[in-house]
Amino acid sequence: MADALADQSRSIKDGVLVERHYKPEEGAEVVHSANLTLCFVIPLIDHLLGGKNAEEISLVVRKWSGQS
Amino acid sequence: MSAESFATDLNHQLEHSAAIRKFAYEKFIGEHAGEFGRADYIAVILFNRCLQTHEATEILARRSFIDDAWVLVRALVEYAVNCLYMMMVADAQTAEDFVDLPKYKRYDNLKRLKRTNENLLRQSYSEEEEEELRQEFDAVSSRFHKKDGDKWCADHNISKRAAKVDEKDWSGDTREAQLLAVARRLSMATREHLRSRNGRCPR
Repeated sequence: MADALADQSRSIKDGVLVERHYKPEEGAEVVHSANLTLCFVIPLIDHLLGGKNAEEISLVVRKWSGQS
Repeated sequence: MSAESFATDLNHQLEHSAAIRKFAYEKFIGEHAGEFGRADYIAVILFNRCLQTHEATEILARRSFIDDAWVLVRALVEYAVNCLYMMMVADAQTAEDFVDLPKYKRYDNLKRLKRTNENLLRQSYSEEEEEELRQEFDAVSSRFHKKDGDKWCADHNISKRAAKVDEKDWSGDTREAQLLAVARRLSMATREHLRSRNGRCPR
């Protein structure tokens, strides 16, 4: 929590500067984690619902992870 | 491009975020024939919730609200762990408790509000509605009253449930063992990401 807040302000000569930082890599990291979590569940949901999509799932995951 | 560089490429992640979710909606949201237990139904509902939170995360990331997006990823991981727990670990009683816990919580919260400000309570609930909630509460309270944490589950927090999912051994079935191995790797990677962000992730 403190880290996230500290990123948005810093001391300057006459006081404090509040600013909004954003790096595309930070956006990539959070979306990557969301994608990872979904890819973690999808094969097992497929299994529960009949397991008919294993090959397509493998392809989707490989494309996303850059293995295809 | 290496797998690691794909992970830090925002355009790649956003493009595939939409594609993965579209695939999941097309394949899994709709009618499915088969025999499903209550835990299975809950798992599918939680998966649907995962898809919605995944989309919300993407929207925040597109708008550059990164810390807020991490909050949603934390929620997404909880839905995912609970979904897997329902599929792989939960028995029928756990599923029943998951469904009935809101009846306990609703009246428990109502009692707190009543102690704090009965006038405010009456603006939301009539005496008849309160009595209905009390009866629902009485019917289930013995199942929850002395339980710790999340109350609906013997593994009473998300860390314990994630550990139970990880412990699941399907080594007798090659395909399931392979799926589980993939799931474990993804689970560990996700938790490592979250741990590095806020230290409050499962396990």
